[in-house]
Amino acid sequence: MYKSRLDNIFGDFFSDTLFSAPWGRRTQPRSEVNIYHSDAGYELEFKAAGLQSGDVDISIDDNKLRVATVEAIADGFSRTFELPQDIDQEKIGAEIKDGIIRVLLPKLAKAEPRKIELKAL
Amino acid sequence: MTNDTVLEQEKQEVVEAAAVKPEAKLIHGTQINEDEEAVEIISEAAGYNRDNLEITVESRQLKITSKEEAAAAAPGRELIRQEYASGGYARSFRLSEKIDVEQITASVKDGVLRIRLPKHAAAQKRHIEVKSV
Repeated sequence: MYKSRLDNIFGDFFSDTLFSAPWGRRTQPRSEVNIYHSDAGYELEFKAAGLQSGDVDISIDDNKLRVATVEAIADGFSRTFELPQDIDQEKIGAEIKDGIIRVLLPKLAKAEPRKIELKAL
Repeated sequence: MTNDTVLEQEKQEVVEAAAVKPEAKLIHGTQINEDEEAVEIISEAAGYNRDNLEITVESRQLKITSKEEAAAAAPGRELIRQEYASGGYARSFRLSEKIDVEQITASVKDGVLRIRLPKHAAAQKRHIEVKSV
């Protein structure tokens, strides 16, 4: 099996092995990801040309999100990301379309700011 | 052992090797395969489909372009980490005289673009039977 590597969503992306290792000696099978942020949460978009829903396994364990190909895929990939604290893990969703795996990480609903009235005693 | 038997054995080995090798499902980059009848281009086109890809042939130049920029810049969405470019697809190939441009077909599925470029009948390898007289 391939080695899994831990990514931080906010991690320094230039320290990534993809960019530091010489191209010819790249041994880590992986899929490139673009990450978007909005007020609602994060969206991870992995390149996975040729794959369908049954070819991908997505799991969350111990605050880590793992996106990987199933065993049957030759030269597949596995990537693991440390989740930010403000993610609502119950509401994480994913879809695959036109060779892009899209993982949606919604933020926890913010508690409404509560105004505390000062009473004159 | 006759030469015939050697050829048969080689063919058998090739068939077995093909059967054992798992089909590459996850596509990276562009592969070009050629057999006796046609050339096939298999290209990663993640995020693209038949609605946003355009393929043209002009003066033996095959061009693949995306009709619009991929919708990366949705409002309120900020790219905070980029490992691949998503700003459109553009590739072109010069076709040899062997290719019958009238017969070119293309399909795109699950972000994989396949273009089949059949050869002119005259350019195809022919097997000529040697008759004993």
